[in-house]
Amino acid sequence: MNALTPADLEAIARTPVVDPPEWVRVQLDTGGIAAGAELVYGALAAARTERQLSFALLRAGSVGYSFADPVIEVQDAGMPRVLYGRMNAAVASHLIDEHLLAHRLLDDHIIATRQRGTSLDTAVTHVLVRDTSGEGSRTESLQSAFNAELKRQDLGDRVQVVRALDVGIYEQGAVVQLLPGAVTYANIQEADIALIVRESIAGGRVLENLRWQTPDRQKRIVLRHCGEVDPDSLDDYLRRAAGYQALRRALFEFTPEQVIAEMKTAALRGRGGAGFPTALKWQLTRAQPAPQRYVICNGDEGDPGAFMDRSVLESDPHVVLEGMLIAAYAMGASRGYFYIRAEYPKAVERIERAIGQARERGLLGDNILGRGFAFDAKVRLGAGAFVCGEETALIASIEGRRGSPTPRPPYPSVRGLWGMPTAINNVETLASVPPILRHGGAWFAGHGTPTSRGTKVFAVTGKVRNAQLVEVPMGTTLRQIITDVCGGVADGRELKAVQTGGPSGGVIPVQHLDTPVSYETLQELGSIMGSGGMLVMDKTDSMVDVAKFYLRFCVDESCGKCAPCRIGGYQLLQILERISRGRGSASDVAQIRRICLAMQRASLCGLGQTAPNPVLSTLRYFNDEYKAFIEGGPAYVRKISRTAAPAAKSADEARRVPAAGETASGLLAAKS
Amino acid sequence: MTRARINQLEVEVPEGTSILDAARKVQVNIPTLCKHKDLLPTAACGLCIVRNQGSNKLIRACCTPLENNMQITTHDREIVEVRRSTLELILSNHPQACLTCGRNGECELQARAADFNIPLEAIKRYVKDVPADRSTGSIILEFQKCIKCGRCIQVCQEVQNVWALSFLDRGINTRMAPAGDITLAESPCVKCGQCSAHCPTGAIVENDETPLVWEALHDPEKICVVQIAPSVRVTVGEAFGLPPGANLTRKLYAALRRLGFRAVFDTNFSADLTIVEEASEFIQRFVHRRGALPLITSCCPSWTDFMEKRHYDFIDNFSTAKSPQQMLGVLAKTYYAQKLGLDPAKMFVVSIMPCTAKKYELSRTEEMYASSFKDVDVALTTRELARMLKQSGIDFLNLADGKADSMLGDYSGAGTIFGVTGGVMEAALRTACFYATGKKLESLELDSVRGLEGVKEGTVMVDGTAVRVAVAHGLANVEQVLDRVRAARKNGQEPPYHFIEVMACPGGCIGGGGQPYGVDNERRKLRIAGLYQDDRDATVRYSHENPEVVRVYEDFLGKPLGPRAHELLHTQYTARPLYKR
Amino acid sequence: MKSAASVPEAEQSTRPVELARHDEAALLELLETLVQRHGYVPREFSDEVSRLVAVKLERLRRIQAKLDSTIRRDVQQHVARWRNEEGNLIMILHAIQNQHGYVPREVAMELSRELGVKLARIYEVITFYHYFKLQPPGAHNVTVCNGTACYLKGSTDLLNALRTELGVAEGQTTADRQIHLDTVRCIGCCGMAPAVVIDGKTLGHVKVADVSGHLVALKQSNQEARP
Repeated sequence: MNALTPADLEAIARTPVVDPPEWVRVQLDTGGIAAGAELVYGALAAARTERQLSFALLRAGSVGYSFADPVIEVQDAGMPRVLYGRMNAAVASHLIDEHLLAHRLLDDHIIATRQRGTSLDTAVTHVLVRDTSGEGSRTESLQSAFNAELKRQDLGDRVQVVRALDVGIYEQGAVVQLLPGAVTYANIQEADIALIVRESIAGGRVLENLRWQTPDRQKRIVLRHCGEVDPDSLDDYLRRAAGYQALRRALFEFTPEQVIAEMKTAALRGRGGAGFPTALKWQLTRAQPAPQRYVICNGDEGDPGAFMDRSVLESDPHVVLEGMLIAAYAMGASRGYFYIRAEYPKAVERIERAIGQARERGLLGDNILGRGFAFDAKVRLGAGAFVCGEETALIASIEGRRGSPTPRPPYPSVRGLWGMPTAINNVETLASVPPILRHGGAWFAGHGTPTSRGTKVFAVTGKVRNAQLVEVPMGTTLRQIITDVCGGVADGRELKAVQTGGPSGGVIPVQHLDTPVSYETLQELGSIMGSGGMLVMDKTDSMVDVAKFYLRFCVDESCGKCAPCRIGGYQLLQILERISRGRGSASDVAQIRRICLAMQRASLCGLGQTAPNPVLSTLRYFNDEYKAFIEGGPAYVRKISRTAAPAAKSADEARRVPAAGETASGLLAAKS
Repeated sequence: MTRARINQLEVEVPEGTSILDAARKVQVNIPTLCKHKDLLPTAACGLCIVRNQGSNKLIRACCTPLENNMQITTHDREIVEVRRSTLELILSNHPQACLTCGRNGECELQARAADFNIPLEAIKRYVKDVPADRSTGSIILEFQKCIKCGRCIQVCQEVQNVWALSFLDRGINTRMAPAGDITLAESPCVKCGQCSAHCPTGAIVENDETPLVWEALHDPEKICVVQIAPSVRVTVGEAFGLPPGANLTRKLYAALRRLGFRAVFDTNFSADLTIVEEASEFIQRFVHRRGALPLITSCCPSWTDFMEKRHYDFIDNFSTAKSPQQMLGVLAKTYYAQKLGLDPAKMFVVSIMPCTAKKYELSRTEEMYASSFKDVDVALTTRELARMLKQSGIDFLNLADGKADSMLGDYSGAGTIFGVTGGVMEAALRTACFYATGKKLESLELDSVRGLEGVKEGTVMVDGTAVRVAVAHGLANVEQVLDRVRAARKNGQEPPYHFIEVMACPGGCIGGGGQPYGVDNERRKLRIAGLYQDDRDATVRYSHENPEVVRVYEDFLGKPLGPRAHELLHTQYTARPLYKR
Repeated sequence: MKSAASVPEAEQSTRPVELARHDEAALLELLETLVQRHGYVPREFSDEVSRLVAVKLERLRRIQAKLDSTIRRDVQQHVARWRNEEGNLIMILHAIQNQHGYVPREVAMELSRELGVKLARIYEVITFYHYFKLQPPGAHNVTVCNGTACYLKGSTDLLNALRTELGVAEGQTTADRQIHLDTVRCIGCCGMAPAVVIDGKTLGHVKVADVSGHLVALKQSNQEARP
């Protein structure tokens, strides 16, 4: 295939995207596939052949609604475009009959759009209904009530009432969304139904007093094309996502210094967790005279429960590659590596394909877009070591050594990969670069807080109603993320705390949930931003257990090089084990604090320095729980294992199985 | 130069100097368990943390270079507290079996624990039950005592290029061990013992064979004789608090006699003998063009083992002359036994060596039994000897001077410098030059092969012909020398050298793996100076002029390289697999 | 107790040797099984075979040489693909692991020779990264996701049930080498927590009560596969 020219890119930019009138797009990311998205895709393809239909079957990554996997999107002529979740092969086949042939939306699978319309200029064709209190038991009666009312007003033929799976509004009673305008009403009473049907559906007037005013908390910059663009197609990225226009702009309208200046204006900080200013990192790397510089994309996302980077790599690989190209241009690097966990085969496959396509079309090579800029990128796999997320360990790993961190200085920007200046940027950081170059640093900096600009992607999981990927502007509060976006705690339980930053972070108790998210505020609370894992816990979760979980993770993942981390983590875990068995003593807490201090101050790298955070933050906010274990002794452990707290119970059970104990905990299961 | 302040004290050091080293300049010792002067910092132990004003983080003094205007605090309340906790953590992962440990009293961890007065089990002890590896018979790996500082691994991989030891697994399971669940004996280990010399604890120690020697000494049937290696005389004093390099030859003779040895010999004597054989070999190859050039020395058993495993394309270049230890052993059980009418079966030959590999050499090949018995029964390291002397209650330093036994006890200055890098080369050239020309070298002392440079090259004019020589010490330095020879070989060119000396340990035997602890280049230099002084003080400085050497040829061996010399004094080599498994 | 335990083992090791005395093909098969299991033919075993089948020593050598050359060819292929690439060691180890399911010792040694990387370095790397295994995998893999979401939703209970049911801890394979139990950090199916992956197939919202059923199904599929 011919190399792309700047003129080609300009032409593509001017050409609007034309999709076929009817299509079904299946979201095929790892989470979706695990939930059966490929079976859904197969069923759709089979049904299409069988019924000789002509709709296009498209592929995409994930929009981020993990709770509803597998998710598909359907466009049918004359119908509103909708997302369906919790699909399976049978439903998919049924969907074809209903949606594509009978032109009726399917009950119980639709995920309503989060965009809330303000006008009803277009006639209402569909009404999505959902009872958002608790598990939504009244949804069906809501549907009947609407149907009855429509029939009464003689609109039954014109409008279909559909039960939605999710409307993105929670605990606000009965909610309806009028399609296609997406005007949304919440907390509607029975009496309102007639009014809505008369005024809004028949009359096309918006009832402002019922309208759900809360704006969508999300602002999708990094994820903006995830779930939309075909991750396997460069052309799709070029057309649908204005792909490589930012690169074109960087190469033709900016000097490398100006790119860095633009990044400085954007005030983007590293999204891997530490929050180092990206522009400064590039500048330092650029300033180092060297025959070769490297840029590395850190895709070794290792936090348990975090899947932001994987999702971006799987859903929009080219945006990361484009970000890397711009970074390379800015700092004068001629070679780049994607360091990706081997546990992410799909992400690896897609980024490799993206690289191949870019190479084929001259977006990688010796003379990119004819500007004399030479760059090539390759993939290197991680091999199951969380510590390789640390920069120096990551470099050691690429170089084919044990992933043990080395002392800094020298920093990688001075002496990195094979001794050359190297900038290591996280996936999300690089994915933020093309939008910044396209829309300007000032635009990006317009989002967020004064110290933390832009947006941040979080993977919200745990006891949350809707586990999903969320992208919000910095400064959004934790409560807004958890309750407004993700629907709060599942099963009507009470929210207890949120854990951010994974094993390096801490827990934030419910009284601090109104804290706006930024690098600084989270740190003040004893946690960190981290890469974006956010674990929601309810009242049944034992904080001692959660601390133990994260600590065990760090102990498993410690590289073992430096004594404070290697032994400190292990001993800390032993003490926590002791306490949670009711065998702790009053002096244990003091010893925990002493060991934590040694680890924080004397560990060589971030893993050891931050490993005590989950312990210290639970001690800070939930000291009572530790006390209860220590003072209550075995009797307390028996008591709580009889009641609630499944996690605490499991810890107790672990000791009854034969292979358990130290070996079973995996700590000592040395390979032989 | 970098100027900064450490504990308010002005300090000026060359750029790139670590905070740890800079602090020493102002008499501040920052504790560390992993940094060794010979080695690059590994940043493992976490004890050397210090604070730079204005920074919230504590930094490691071992691996952070001092920068201009830094204001370093090495000791404050928090730093000391953290250090103490870290030390407690390290001890919690250590058997704390000091009283029965090979390093008792000389252990760096023990010393730090004493400094901080750490109570027993300050933190509950966790030590994984791993049996020690005693497979080599030279070095014992006591895995439980390892603090994972990484010194041994750096020495084994980087300094010695042996790659027997490695870090395996990770986290709390991290361990120092041969790669892939094999024993040390099955690994590429060459038994040089540098790991044990650099280990801060008792995790790697020599195989203590003093009980065997005590038993023999107490056995009225046994006739125990002993030999002391060249370098031991200038290092053993360190175990008794003397500075390195103090020459204790005569006190050693006296002390060994007091221990109960019937005869005290000097390996320097057989070093002279080795030179006579080796110089003859060289003349044969260099002058008469019979045999491969370059000739490569073979008296270092670690080097021999290394060559057999990794560089066996040089077997033909190796001198077949046995090492001085083995030559003395065989002569003790043949020549000496015959002269005195002793039953060699009852003789028990002990050697005092700077070296752990010498234990391995005792049974390296069948030629080590040339007397029909095991030529040398036990080889002890300097450290083991010091232990024996202390046990025996001998007031070693205040002993009156003693004498070595004749026949195998006299030595030349050339023999004594066997113990330093370049010494064998120098000694051999002194004699070879004489053999070739009948004349002595113009300048006796060959400066080009002296010093601690890793590879030393020189050209010595022997009667108008240039002899090109190379000296390497520290096995990692061998490769470049051999590669030059290989390159010439491949291109059909004249070899770049005629004569190569290799010693496995940095500095030669004075830096051997069995020497008293705490070796670094400063010590090596002092020890070397001690041996060169011994050479200068010697009345005879040519091996072939050693009267007892002359006599042993006249009375017993016949001619150098003659049939009897060949039978008793020479050996052979064979390619060996790098991994036995 | 002790002697009873040692007898079947002795039988096990002599029976194939007896077999091998008569049948070269069986010998070859036996050696291949051993290579499968250990990654190489254990020295004591080949010694044993050569002692008992003295006449066939030459043949044994040939077979061993054949295995060696297969290994060499495989390794050479991997190395050829990566030789001129920077940072190739871990990528080659991935290729080897994909091929064998683990990194056999013989292959590691061959790789060391072929790539000029010290074996010690290769083992340092293999044992550091959890992804690389030194033991052959089981016929089936049961992997419990231990990401935070799954943990909070009871993955520990699932793991305990599996441990009890299979009699092995995570990271271990049942004695019959049929089922390998393991945990994984996070498979990214947090929406389906707790999740278990059985032979690549992800099961969501798994309950302790389901565990037995899944294992039975696995064992049945086994018997069907083995007519």
